[in-house]
Amino acid sequence: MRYIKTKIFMFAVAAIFIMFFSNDFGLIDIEKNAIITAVAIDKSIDNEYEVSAQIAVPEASNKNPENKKALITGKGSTVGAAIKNVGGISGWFPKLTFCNLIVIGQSLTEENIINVLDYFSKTLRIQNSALVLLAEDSGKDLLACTSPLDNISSFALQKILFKNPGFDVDIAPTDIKTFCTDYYSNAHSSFMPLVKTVEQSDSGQQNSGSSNTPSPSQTEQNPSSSSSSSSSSSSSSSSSSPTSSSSSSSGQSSANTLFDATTTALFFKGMKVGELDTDSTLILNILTRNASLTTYQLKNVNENQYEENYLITILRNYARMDMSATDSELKVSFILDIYCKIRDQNFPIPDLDYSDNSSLPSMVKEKMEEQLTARINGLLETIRQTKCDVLKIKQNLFRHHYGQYARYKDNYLEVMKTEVHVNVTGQK
Amino acid sequence: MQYQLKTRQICLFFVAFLPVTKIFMLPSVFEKFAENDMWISCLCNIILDLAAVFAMIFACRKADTDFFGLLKNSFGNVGSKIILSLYVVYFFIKAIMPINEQKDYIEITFYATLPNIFTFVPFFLISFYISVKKIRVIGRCADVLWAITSLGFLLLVGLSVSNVDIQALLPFGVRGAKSILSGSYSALSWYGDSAYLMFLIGQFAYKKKDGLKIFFTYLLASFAILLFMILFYCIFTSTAHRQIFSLTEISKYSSVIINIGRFDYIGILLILFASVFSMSMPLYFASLILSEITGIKKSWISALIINGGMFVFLMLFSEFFSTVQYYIFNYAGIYFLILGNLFPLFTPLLKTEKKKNALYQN
Amino acid sequence: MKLSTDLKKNIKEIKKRLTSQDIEFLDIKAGNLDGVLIFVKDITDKESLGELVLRPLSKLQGNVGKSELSDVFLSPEKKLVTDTDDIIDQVLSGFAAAIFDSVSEAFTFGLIKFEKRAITEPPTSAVIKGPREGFVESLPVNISLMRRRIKSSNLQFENLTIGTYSKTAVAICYIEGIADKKLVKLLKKKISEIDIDAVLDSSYVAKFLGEHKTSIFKQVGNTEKPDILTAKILEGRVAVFVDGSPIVITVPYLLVEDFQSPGDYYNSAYSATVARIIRLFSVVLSTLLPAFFVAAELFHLQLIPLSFLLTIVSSIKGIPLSPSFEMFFTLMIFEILNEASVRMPKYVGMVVSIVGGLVLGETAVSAGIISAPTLMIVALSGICLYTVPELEQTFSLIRLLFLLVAGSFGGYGLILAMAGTLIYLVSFENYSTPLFAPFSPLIVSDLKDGIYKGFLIEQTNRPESIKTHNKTRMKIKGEK
Repeated sequence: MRYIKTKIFMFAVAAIFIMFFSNDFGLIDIEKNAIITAVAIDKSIDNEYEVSAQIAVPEASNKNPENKKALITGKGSTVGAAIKNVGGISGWFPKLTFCNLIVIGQSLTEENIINVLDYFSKTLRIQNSALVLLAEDSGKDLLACTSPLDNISSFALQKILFKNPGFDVDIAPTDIKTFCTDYYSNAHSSFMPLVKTVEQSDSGQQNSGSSNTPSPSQTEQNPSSSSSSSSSSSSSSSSSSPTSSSSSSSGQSSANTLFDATTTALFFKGMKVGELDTDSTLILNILTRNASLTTYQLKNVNENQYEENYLITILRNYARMDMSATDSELKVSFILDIYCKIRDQNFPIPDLDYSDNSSLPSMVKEKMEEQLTARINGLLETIRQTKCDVLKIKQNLFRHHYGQYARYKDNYLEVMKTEVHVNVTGQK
Repeated sequence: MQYQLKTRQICLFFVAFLPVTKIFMLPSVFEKFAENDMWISCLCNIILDLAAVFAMIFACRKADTDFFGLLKNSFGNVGSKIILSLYVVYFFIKAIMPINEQKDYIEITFYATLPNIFTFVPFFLISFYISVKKIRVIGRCADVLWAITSLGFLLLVGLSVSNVDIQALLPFGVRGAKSILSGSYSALSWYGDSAYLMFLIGQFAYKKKDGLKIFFTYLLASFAILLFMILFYCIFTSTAHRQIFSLTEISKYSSVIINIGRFDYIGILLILFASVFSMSMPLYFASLILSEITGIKKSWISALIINGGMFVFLMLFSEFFSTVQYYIFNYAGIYFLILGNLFPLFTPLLKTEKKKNALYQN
Repeated sequence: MKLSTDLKKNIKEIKKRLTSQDIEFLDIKAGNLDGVLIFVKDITDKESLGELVLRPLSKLQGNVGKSELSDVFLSPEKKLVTDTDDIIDQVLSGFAAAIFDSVSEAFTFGLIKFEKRAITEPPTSAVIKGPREGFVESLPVNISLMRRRIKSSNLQFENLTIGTYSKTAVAICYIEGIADKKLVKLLKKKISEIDIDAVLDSSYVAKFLGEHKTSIFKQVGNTEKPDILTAKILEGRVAVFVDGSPIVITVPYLLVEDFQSPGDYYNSAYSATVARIIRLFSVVLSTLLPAFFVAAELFHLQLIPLSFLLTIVSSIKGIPLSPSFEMFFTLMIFEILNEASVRMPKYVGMVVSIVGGLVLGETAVSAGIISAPTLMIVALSGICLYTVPELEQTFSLIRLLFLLVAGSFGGYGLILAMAGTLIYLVSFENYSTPLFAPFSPLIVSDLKDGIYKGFLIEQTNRPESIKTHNKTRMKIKGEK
């Protein structure tokens, strides 16, 4: 018996050694793996899916410290087939594990976007936490951009979309899981950031590309005199204040591109139904997320006497939705409590005021409450028009008023009465 | 009577082995049937198991021999062998789903292109190795593994808590009793762990309050699973049924993961480590019972039969596993219910040592 | 063979067997009696021989009988021997034997004089704070070191001799009333059953004391320090001293022992706890890191953070070896350097470190034979293992085994190998003591000296993991 055991042991060790040294069991060499960092999906003229995979190509460490990238486009009748085609034409095994960004081209907004995203949602080869965004034009072009933020554009885009605490929450990012969860929810309403490119010339001056967004430096030096604005700007916004999401660069490259993601594309049942401008995006964030340390610009507070402009930092925001549903009425109240602090203003204040933790001037408070109320109402109006229930009113109805759900589920946006209560408190 | 286990080890056995096999595929199975009421389905299974545990605690209190002895006293030699044979089949079938789901999990999420045989065959070597060991070794494994399971579990739960929308469970009970019970019925293959306790009767010295300790650790382990189910649904809500392997999915949306990288894999690897033992338990008990039925002294023979049998079964049916799964979900449930939940309820009624009767008669 | 009264016959018989030229047969006279003094020239203290044996003999006059002879010798270690075999054994052990005509008994005197090494600090268990004495190769010296620490009549030494040719003295040491009697009996039986030509070191005895002959894990503990041994036998362990070896064996052995450094007991509990956690972490890291890295590189790229993956891929570009072979190759080079540096004289050792560490490593990376991450992982793994030097050999083997498994089966294979190792460890028992105690079986009270080091005043009882007859080792004033 002992002899047999020894024989078995020897055989096992020999087998392991052979396997260990041969590596001949279907392994893919680490260098033959295409490390896909992002994919852009577009629809071609011949109605096929075009998947452009941005692949990080590491250079030998002693040659170049920076990694190169390759953008390879594959075509197919489905997204999966197009990705397979990427492997076929490149000789690399497409490894989606590290793909953390999916760029949807405008051409796909004409169809149900879930046709594309479902592939990523179902496969286990990609992280469901990968960010999704809509390109202003072609997804491939967006990925092909050269950005001063990172030599790999997808990393630069992620820097814009993933903001650490302490930054303004002026972008409404989403990932595959969130988008699909929202799509398959009762309201079938989802959103994703709409990314626009902002070209920046050598001199450091920023020329607006497709969006007429001024450069941060320009706007900071020449504040607009328009009525009021949030901290961000966009083409659709009435304001033209600095673009916080498009970080400035030191101007290393001649064709440097920055990104503006402060507008949001709205989807209902997978179809693009509208956009939220910069201000509405900010309001959406204030109502649905923790927006502490987000700055808010308040202009023309004292219109008749002196043009008082303020930069206000939101320290705490608390929003809730109260709903009452009866047979005769569906009433939804949005209550927003904000605690903030004035960070800057465009006029001198006495030294004594700096040390005085006095409360917010009543004019500021009133103006801010008025403005926020108007913007929430504006957002609600957009929701009504687009049917994209980004505030999850229907979900609230289902969860808390299930008895009335059947009555209102199809017409809640039309029949609901809304109220907005904004309470701003804070200190100078 | 020489006791092989301590009460502490029985308690830790449940903490170490109960949660790990239930956090791979089971959450999505529950969700498929009961959606936001999946936690009620889960609760039903827990109640069934706890009832069985409660009954068996009484059996442990009065037992002066092991379960095999109790069966022999009550049903005679032939009768006990028939019942034990049913339990061999029970444990064998009980092992199929967890082992296969883990095989799939390993293949799909851990290996991209490797053929099946290489990834999972070594598991059967380990389960065979466990199966030849005495029950004392299982107790000792539990002494170590409870910490590993707890650590892995806490890490995954801790990372996932920040993404939970607890209101997703609302409104309660709207999916209807049929959906909820269907979920419970389909999950019977994963539950019924209380049956293990039957075969641990007489293996430890029962002292005052031991029953309470066992019951509460079982409860704790069961509620850990329930918590996981709730977190799972509250994170994925309408797409929960798509997340076949909740283990990998649940924690990756944490902002810590996004900033630092996927260190939740530490928790996943810890759970995978513990699940090697947990998956082997049905095979271990099947081997143990087979040795008892056949009277085979060398434990490796029965271990080889059971583990080899499972290996051959999974290899043969690997391409038709959806059919196997269909039969287990739809038809094997009643078998699981009888042997895993109903029979244990009657263990306190089993006759204790014959000697006492003999003395009484004398 | 029994001694006769005929001196010539007795001497002839002994000379027939003691033919070596270093054995001296010195003719002596005690009064009217002729006699022969037999001793080994180089190991007998000749000065003491003259003073304690020859000088008193020269004072005897006239008729001398056995009783006169018994009284005359001044040597404190004096025995009467009646068998030629015993005489030969004792002479070879360093005794001097005096045989007289018409006396059928011989007198033997313990006058051994060996060259001994001075008591120094053992290199394997150096401490910053605490006693620096270490055992030496002399059994009597080692026993004296123990006696100096435990001045109790309960400290017992039981002597045995093993080795057909070496006749090595072995002493079993324990404290009566604490150590398990069954264990002492079993040890005595096991040692006396050893049938071997020679015992050159205590490790020879250790091989016979292990109950699992083929195990790669240690089955007996060992120490070179009397303070550690004192603590161990006071916990209920039994020690085995072997003459000629500075390493003392202790049984039963627990794996956790090797994580307990001598310094832990002389430093604060907090720093000792941190040190122990570091040791445990280091051993785990050292054993698993190369295997895990290879498994991740070959099978599970997703386990590696993207930025690190890019670094890895860029560093392995152009390397001719596969990741698994590269790691194996580097690990082998490390083992070769390790082996060479241990064997080489100290002054060359420095050269080996420089050549191995700087020249070979740096050149191999720049020549594109191995990658920098692999080199770093092997170096880290190698260093980590030396935090617990006692386990270095065992765990370097396990590291290699895990590497082979990980390179062949990937991460899941590695998990299974770890599971197999755990099952092996928890089921492993030596002298009815589980190797993995106090973790498995879990003995909560013993954890105070396990992963964490509890305060001294908390450790009022001896470890539960070891069978003892007396559990209490400390009574705090005011406590009953």
